[in-house]
Amino acid sequence: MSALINTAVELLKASGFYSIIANFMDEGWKTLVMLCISLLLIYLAIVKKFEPLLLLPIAFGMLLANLPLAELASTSEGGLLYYLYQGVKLKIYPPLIFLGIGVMTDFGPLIANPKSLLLGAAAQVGIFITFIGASLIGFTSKEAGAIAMIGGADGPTAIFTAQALAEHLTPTIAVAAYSYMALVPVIQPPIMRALTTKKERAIRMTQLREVSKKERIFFPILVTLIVSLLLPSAATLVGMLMLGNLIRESGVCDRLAKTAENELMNIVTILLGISVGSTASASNFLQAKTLGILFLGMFAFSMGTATGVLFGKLLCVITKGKVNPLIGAAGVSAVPMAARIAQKVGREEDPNNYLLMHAMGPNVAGVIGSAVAAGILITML
Amino acid sequence: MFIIQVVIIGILLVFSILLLLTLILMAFPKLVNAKRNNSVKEKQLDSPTQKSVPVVNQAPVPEQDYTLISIITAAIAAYRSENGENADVGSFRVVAFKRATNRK
Repeated sequence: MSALINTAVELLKASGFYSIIANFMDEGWKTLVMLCISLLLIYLAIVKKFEPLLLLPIAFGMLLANLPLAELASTSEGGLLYYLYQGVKLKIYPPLIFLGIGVMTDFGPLIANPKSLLLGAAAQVGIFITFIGASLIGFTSKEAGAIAMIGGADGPTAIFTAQALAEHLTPTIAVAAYSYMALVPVIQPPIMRALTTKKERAIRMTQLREVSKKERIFFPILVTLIVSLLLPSAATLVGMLMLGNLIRESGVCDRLAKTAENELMNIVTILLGISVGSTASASNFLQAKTLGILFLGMFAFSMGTATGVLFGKLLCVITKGKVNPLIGAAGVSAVPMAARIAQKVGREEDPNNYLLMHAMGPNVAGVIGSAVAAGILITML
Repeated sequence: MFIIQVVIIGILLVFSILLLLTLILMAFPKLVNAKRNNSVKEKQLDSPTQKSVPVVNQAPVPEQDYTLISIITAAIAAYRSENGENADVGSFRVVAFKRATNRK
């Protein structure tokens, strides 16, 4: 009988519940907090639909990583998530996501209106302003660069940069980046309205010209050559983005295009999400820095929106009212949500104003712009 | 000082690279479509093509369905006429139609 009780007690001691209770004052409470955070993120992904495709795997990875004694964190060598995490550590997953994004992206509006690229560049100014802010409040320059990339509103780029500059901040940066991308409809409109007049918001833009197949095929090759030769550190992201786009536009690789935008994209999304989540251990996540990162992420996103709109206003003046400044807000990547917001805010003033395709130009330019900004920060820091 | 350097050089580089791409893309139509008829010019936004842009949360308007039916009917009739399948366009009629997606 006593042997039976002993076995039961041993089993109980080997359980996660016992581990939490026995170490409650040290690690136990932290574990509970992390499990609550992961459950909250799962709730936000499923119920509120906050970027569920990535937030759900991230949140569940976080849950798995914080299960006591399960040894599932990315740092637990030999475990499943440890090996999956190598794809993040070696910076393999984000470029593969970019390949899929490239296949899904239509650069036609950008080719038709090249000035959109400048709006995409302007929205990246928020990244550099945030870099100053993060440095001033005590982050190292590498950490500040990684945090500032949240302003690019581009999850894979933010993760890629975090891995390169401040690996320990990757989970926080990933969660912040995807959360704010999901909050685009909440964050951007007030800034857009505050920085523009009713008259500016009601500006109608002329229809975009037709883009030939030749242009569409030359575009990814040209962008890869120019950006990669000027800034080799951006070659990985830009190269994969443009490879995906070339596969799409060439019209001769339908099977590859379908695989890249469906199966490959979905598989890598799951692996990336769960791997990033598995890095969010209590010791990594429960720090005062986390709050600072979440605040700076919001600041970066807002500044990117503001600088995009302000540059849009400048273009509006230069072109004598031919550019609606609202499309500048779409320069913060977050494809296609940011472009839809520009359309929505524009239609509030004029229900017959169609800005969506015009906003798609800066929107996809933002993807290129944030990859370039990431390359610059990685090179300089 | 290093931070300011990074910011200034970073912003200048982002703008320079994207400006270079902008300039090249502006010359793109002339370089790539040298032989192509360059007659396509900018039109006003309220043209039919622009109106076909998908709009989020646009309220369904019943007239749009009839317009769509008319366009589809005309296109099918024209196609059939061209192929000699049915020179008498008047005999063609739509007997039923269904919405592609559920609208609430």
